[in-house]
Amino acid sequence: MKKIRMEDFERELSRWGTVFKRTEEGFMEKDTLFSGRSRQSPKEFLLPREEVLFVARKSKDDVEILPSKPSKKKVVFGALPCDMKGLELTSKNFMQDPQDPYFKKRMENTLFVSEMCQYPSSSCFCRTFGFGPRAQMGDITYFKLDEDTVLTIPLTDKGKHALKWENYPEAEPQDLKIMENVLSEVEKKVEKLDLSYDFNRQREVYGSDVLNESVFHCINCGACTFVCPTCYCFDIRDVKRKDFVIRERVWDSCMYFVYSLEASGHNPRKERTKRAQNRFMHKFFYQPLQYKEYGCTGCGRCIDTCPAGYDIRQTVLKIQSFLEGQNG
Amino acid sequence: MDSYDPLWVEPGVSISDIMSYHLIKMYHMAGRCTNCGTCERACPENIPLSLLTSMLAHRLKRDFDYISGKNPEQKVFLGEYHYEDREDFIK
Ligand code: SF4
Ligand code: SF4
Repeated sequence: MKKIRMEDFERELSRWGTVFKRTEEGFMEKDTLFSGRSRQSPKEFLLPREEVLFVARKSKDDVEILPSKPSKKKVVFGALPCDMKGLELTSKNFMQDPQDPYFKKRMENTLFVSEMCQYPSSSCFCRTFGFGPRAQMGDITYFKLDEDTVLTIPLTDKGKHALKWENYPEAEPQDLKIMENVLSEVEKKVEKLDLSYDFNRQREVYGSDVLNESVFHCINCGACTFVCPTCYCFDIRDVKRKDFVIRERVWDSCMYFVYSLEASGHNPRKERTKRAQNRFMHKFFYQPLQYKEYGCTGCGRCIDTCPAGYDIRQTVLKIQSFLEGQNG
Repeated sequence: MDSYDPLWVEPGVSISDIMSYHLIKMYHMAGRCTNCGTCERACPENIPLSLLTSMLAHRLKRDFDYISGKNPEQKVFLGEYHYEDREDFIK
């Protein structure tokens, strides 16, 4: 690990691309780094809220297709392990065959600089999912030793080329010791839920009274789906203007009635609680079945955000005991 | 919100769509909203919604001498009219 002054670190990174730092709201072009988890995850760097795919313009007797502008080079600075894990899970959906070219392009044009987490909050439960505050993720990872110094190490080729690593001194043993102590203290403060789901029993869980009661107070506002780093549902829409049409991709949410409404008029999830159940089922059953990993990173954003006070950890635990109970 | 047909507000992030959503909502809140501030506390994006709701309360008081939620006997604001009501703002 290298020891670098924060100032130099940032200056070098800004040569790679525009630096977006972790702020209270999200990742922005600001001077100071927020000490805590941001309200919005950095997923909008790969999957923006609104992304133009192409513009179709009417010319005399033809239609002209104008491709979208290429995304700029950006550095996401200070993403926490749960943010990075969220992007990793989201990528599974977009980067496997067939690859999403828009997502891929953004991936190439973004440098992820992650920070080892020192900001546990009462809603964090990342350790449940096999990683934690000390996880080293992204292209470069760093540990904030104090306000002006970081201990850092590149993790990918992209990260290796972003900085002139050889110009900086190695971290001293006592620095590494401080890092170790701080991180193990932080780890103690993060909850670890005990879960071992049998994903093949999904049909018993969806629609069960336990799950239904557990999500009953959800009002389907969709706020959790927008702040969640692993929620990636989108809609493709054509926005009509006078003589051109913009085809764009926008965030969508499974919490909305029209999301699952079919052209025939049938809606498989027409009840409010069915939609809330589906969000849980997708993260804890369908995604593990498909990608061999839980679809939640335990960041706790949905818990902090929900206006109805829904806590996903309660559902996680209730379903765990439901599954155990059924086993005898 | 939950309607694609007619599509009142497009789901993108253009400021005019966001504004029209809020204005349509506010029109329907006149006389029902008591300006209690719960929406602002609930908003995950910290949007200062009470700016709109207090303006609504202020206008109702100023133009129609109406305060919502004060008296259980009073008629709903949008369900009542007087011949003397101002209408010079309707163009
Ligand atoms: S479901 Fe909630 S805790 Fe899990 S990743 Fe999404 S926002 Fe975070
Ligand atoms: S934030 Fe809460 S009320 Fe809103 S959709 Fe999510 S769980 Fe339901």
